[in-house]
Amino acid sequence: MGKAAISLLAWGIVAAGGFSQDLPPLPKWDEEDVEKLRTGEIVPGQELLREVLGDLVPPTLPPEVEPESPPPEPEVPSLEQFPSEIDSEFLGEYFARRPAGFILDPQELLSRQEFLDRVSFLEYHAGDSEVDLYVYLFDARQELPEGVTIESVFSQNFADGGPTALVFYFLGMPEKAQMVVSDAIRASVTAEELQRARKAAIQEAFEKSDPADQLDNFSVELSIRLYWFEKAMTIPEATPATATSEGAPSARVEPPEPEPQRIKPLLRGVGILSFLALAGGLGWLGRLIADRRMRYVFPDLDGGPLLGAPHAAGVGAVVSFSSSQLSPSQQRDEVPDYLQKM
Amino acid sequence: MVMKCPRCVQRVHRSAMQCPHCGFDIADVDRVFGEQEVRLKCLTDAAGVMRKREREAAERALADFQRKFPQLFFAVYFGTFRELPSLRQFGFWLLNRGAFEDVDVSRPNEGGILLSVDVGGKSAGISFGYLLQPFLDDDLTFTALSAAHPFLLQGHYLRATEVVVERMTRILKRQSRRVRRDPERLEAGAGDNGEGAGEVLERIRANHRSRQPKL
Repeated sequence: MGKAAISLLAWGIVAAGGFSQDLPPLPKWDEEDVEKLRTGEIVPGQELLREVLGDLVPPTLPPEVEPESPPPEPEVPSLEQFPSEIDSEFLGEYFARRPAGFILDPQELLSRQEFLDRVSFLEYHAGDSEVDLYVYLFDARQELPEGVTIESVFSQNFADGGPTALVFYFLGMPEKAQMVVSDAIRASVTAEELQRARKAAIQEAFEKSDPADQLDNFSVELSIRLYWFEKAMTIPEATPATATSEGAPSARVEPPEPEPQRIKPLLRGVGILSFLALAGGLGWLGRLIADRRMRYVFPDLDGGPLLGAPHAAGVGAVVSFSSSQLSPSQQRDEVPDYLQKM
Repeated sequence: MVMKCPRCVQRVHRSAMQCPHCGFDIADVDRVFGEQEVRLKCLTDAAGVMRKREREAAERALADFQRKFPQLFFAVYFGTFRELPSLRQFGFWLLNRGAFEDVDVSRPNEGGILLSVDVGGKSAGISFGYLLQPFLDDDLTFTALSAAHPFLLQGHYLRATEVVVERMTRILKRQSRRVRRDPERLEAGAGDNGEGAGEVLERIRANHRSRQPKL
């Protein structure tokens, strides 16, 4: 079957070659068509295919559409491009006076909503804690002006307030954060503990990648730490933060003497409890000693002789311990011997 | 307190020379175990179930018991019996024929308590002398044995001994206090031995006066 088909095809080709001399000459491409062919406007055999396939073939192929190049990304200035100096128009707002709110962001580094969120949290903290937390926001690369330190800002603007913690936070670079606290806190918390609190807050900030979220984490962790500082310190009625001539707070505020009226009942209670414990212990010890020395005697009633026994005829219980499944009561032997072995 | 026959476990009168139910008397057990005295110590480990340290600890517990009760002693016998008619009869015999070498002569067998353990037959029983007859019975001794039951099951014979001694100490302390507080009650129970009430009381109190050590 296959051989017959091949023979028929070969005959057809030979026959076609024989008739080719009678056919008209093939058309030739003019220059214009050749150009269209090159540009793709003409597809060879398209008309023939249209007759066979009908509407499946579009009249002309759509011109090849070049992919649109993505819109150029807005140029993001690198960190190096940020100015490291704080614009002079903000200096007064930063350092000249005490801020009205708990967060100071004159450069509007945070969006409005982010700013309000942080303010809300810090106000909540201030309501819940004796220690107020103030946060000054700076840009990541910004440096404090010459001669300005966080200690000087604190002593200038926060010295006459209650227990306060001031933080200079550099948005996007939590590790640069600085913190200073008032004397009331420093009196009861060591510098190492303060450092640990700052580092813990920084570490917590690095849990997030977004700068605003970092600030959020930082302030929450610091708020927790300040709460524990508050527990550790004794807050006087008024805690004037004293500062040295260099501006750094140094003089420690001694905790006030406890009131004797409060101490007395406490001491009395402790004394009574101690006395009771001592008396109880002595009583227990005495009872133990007495019990050890106690001798128990029984009256000699001259019992017996019973069953011919000269000394003893007391018959107590007999218990088998052959089964761990049965209780001692179930293994108690109360059966007469003559019903068992004898 | 109820007196019982070691063989038929029936109640017998406190002065009966033979069991009215089965005819048992000491001659029956003498024929089985021998009628001669047997020399032994308070702790006799014939079954070899205790190590040296355990024996020492058990002896300390027995010595503590003797310290608390100047009239009494506690003996423990571990054995393995093949043809034993009954542990109850064995205890009865041993407490009558045993001569406990390490017990002072001021403590006769009347004040003895014997814990017998048949290690092979897996049973344990308690016997006691005439002195304790009004103060102990089947049920009280059962509470002590039942407390030691878990340790007997596991083969912890030292712990079992300690528990029995501890429980018996507790029971006897309570009985001693009770009789000191209320001797009339004891007198009522002991009234059928022919003595008058006054005589019993007098003897009990005299006993307390003479034997109570100074604290």
